[in-house]
Amino acid sequence: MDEREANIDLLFRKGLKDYEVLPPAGVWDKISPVIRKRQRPYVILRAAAMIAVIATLSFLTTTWNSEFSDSVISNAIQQDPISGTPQSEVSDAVLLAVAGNNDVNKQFSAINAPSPEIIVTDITENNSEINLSNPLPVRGLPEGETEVSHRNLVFPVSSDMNSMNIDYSPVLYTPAELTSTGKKEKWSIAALVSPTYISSFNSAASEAASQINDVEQPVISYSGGIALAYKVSKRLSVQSGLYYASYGNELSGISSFGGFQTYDQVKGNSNFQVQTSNGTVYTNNADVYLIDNLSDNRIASYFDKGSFDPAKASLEYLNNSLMQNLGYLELPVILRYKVIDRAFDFNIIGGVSSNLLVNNSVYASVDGDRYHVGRTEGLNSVLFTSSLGMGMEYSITNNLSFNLEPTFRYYLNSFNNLSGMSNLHPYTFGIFSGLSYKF
Amino acid sequence: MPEIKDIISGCLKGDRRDQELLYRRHAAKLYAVCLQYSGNDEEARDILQEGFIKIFENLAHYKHEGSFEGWVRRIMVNTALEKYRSRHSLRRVDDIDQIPEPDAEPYNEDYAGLQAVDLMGIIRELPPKYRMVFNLFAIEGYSHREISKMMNISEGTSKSNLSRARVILQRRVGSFTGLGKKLSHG
Repeated sequence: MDEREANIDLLFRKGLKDYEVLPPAGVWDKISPVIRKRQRPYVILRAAAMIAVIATLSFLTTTWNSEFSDSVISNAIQQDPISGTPQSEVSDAVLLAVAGNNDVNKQFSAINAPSPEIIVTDITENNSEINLSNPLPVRGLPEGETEVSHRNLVFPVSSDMNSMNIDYSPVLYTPAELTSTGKKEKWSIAALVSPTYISSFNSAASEAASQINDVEQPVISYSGGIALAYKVSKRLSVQSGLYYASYGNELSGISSFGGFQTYDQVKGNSNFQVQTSNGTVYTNNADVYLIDNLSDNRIASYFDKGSFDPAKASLEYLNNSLMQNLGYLELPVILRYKVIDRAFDFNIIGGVSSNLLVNNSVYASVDGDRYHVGRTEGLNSVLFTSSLGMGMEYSITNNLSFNLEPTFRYYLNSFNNLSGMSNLHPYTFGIFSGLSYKF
Repeated sequence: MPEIKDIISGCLKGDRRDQELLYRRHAAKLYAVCLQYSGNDEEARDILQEGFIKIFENLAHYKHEGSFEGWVRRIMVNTALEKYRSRHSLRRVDDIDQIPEPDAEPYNEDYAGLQAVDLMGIIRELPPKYRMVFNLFAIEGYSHREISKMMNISEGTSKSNLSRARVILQRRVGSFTGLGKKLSHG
């Protein structure tokens, strides 16, 4: 009778098939903030990534435009405006003075002048030259010297430049400064931290892995540590250090209950084994009882669902999902190539890392507290990753810089070698930020 | 009217209008499901709220296979089941006296006089464990084996609960329409 269509069943099934009832007003107002709050970390991460990419592209475009403009001006300066022949007596200091000051990035060229000093005078109509009088303090000169002398410097100008105010003081450099990179700081140390999004590629489209992945959700993790870099050349650095990376994985649909110990008749053994994409979770807390609400093949247990009823036994309901947490100590070897060397540096970063498993726990979250459940077995104790990123470095002082490094990491091996799961290659994306100190 | 796949896509991008549109489009039907599985309006409202949060959280897992309506309904039913498990203590009913099985009979159009709102009222008066088994078996189409796993009860218990639910429902429908004898015994 049960398996056949009963009259009363049909009555209710047909009668309620298209039944609709408007929910009370205000339900959506309670749902909306919750989903926005839970989506926020992902939205923020995406937005941060977008901002980083846009900022980088804008910065590169601006910098390359500026470099192109400087190059044109430098070439112009070294040409005689009349003959077009190069002026051999134009000083490096002047070249940088012009190149570094946007106010004069126009139609300047330099020709010889008899004056032994830089002199600034007012520009008057029909002047064909600018004389720089009132010798100006110059940065980078030996102590005691306050002006550049024995320089030939005269600018031919057109009449429409009369009102131009020229301030050379902040941009004058000596040739020594032009070639110098400042102090020879070879080492730098940085402290960096990043929120990390983790997911995985399924290289062989394993059905088992896909099914398990469908009921697992990565949670925002974090990574951070200390990096030590050695400058091999002006642009190339080798970096290593020590990072700690923590990854979280939510196992949805597994209800956990506390207080099972008094009913545990298989003391000393793991009561439940839960298959996950990262390995098999073995419970080692005899007080916990697990039920899988989403599938029949994730949990293996001595306890038959029909033989024990957690509700009847008044076990304490903990949560509807388990959190799987893995922590790794990361030892990277990274190459940093400085593409742009300015106040705002830009680096391309790439390298490999070895990751040692140091933390392995599974827990149920109860009002912010962690209720220990067990650990994941079958994990590879060492993982290897490759990484690629871009580093933006803003100099706060001569030695101190702020770093922002969007970094993509791909795991060369999987978290475990379980059958069907070894094709899962995790990847992470994080935006590292922090301070570095050169010494 | 926007396609459901466009609304889902918008929701996944965090578009608030699409999120609200998805809610408005399905809320009435899903609230009816919540009422059907709950004994009071407050519980139904909680199930609707928690169910929709799960729908939005798991939207990325919807594979556009099968109807979206069926997918959201399953989530809502599972939410009702979780709520039931957390609120109600399950008691074994294996030792309950065997309930006489009503005879099977073809669907009688006379019953069609009952309005949906009447049926909803009747089904919500059932004790929670009977209501849950009846809904899962008769409305959602789960087997006793599946129900026993979902509710963590034995198949025998599921069958007993269903029988008891049917008897109660037939009695109430009968008193509602005067067809009680016909419903029970054909």
